[in-house]
Amino acid sequence: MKEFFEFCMYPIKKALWAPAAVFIFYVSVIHLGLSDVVPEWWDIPVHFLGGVTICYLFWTASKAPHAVKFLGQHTRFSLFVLLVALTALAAVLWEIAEWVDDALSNREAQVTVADTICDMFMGLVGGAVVALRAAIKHT
Amino acid sequence: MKDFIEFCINALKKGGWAPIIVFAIHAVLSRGFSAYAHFPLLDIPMHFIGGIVICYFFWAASKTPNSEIYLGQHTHFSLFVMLMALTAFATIMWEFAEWTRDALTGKTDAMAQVSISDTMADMLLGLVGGAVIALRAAIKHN
Repeated sequence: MKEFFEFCMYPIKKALWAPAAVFIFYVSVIHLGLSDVVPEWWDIPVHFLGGVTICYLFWTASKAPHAVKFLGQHTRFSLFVLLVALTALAAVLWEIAEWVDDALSNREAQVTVADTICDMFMGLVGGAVVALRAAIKHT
Repeated sequence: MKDFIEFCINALKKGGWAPIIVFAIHAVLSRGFSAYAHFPLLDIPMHFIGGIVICYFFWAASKTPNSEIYLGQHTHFSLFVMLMALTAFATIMWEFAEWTRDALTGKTDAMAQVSISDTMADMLLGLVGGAVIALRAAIKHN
């Protein structure tokens, strides 16, 4: 349990700022009524950045103490696969959370199926960029 | 490259049969009998089973020779994480494919993705199916 705690704290300390910053921006736009100020396509780069930052968090986690125990031991290729797949998992969970939030608060963050699919695609592309960099830099 | 092709072929031989069978059943039910139009609830078990079989495929792949190069070396916990993540990736790819098919065919009366709720439920069910196998894989992992 202590090892798991140490493993979790490392990416939280080193990299959580990145997805937290994107999340705060996203929530601010929705809840502070800024959606009239930003362009209609604002969520496309935000989802891309979301993918970039969440993948960066996972990449940092892969370098944490005891990471081998909790994320496995990886080659360049398998690290790329793991990071893209974890980004996909985060993207799915994010969309499910938005869906639940929409249902509970009577809002419409998910406008259409096409919008939701585009959101996940942008997240995956962002994740793939960081995963590629992680794989190249992996020793 | 030769190693990678061998890895893919071995993974397909070992675990590919499961998703292929489920996909074939899905195709027959969908194209042959329009079963999803007659019984919309059929979608629910099919996505759950889809999650099970795709996760089983990845589990089988993780046990083939050279899998440590392409999927890494795993502990019980990390195998569970990896399998869940790969199932999520496959789930997104499936939904992309359904969306693309809907967009290309343009048949509004026979759309695979009828609503956001339907798409979200499909992905959630796929993940739950995957979790069942990922848990089993993690327990049986040595």
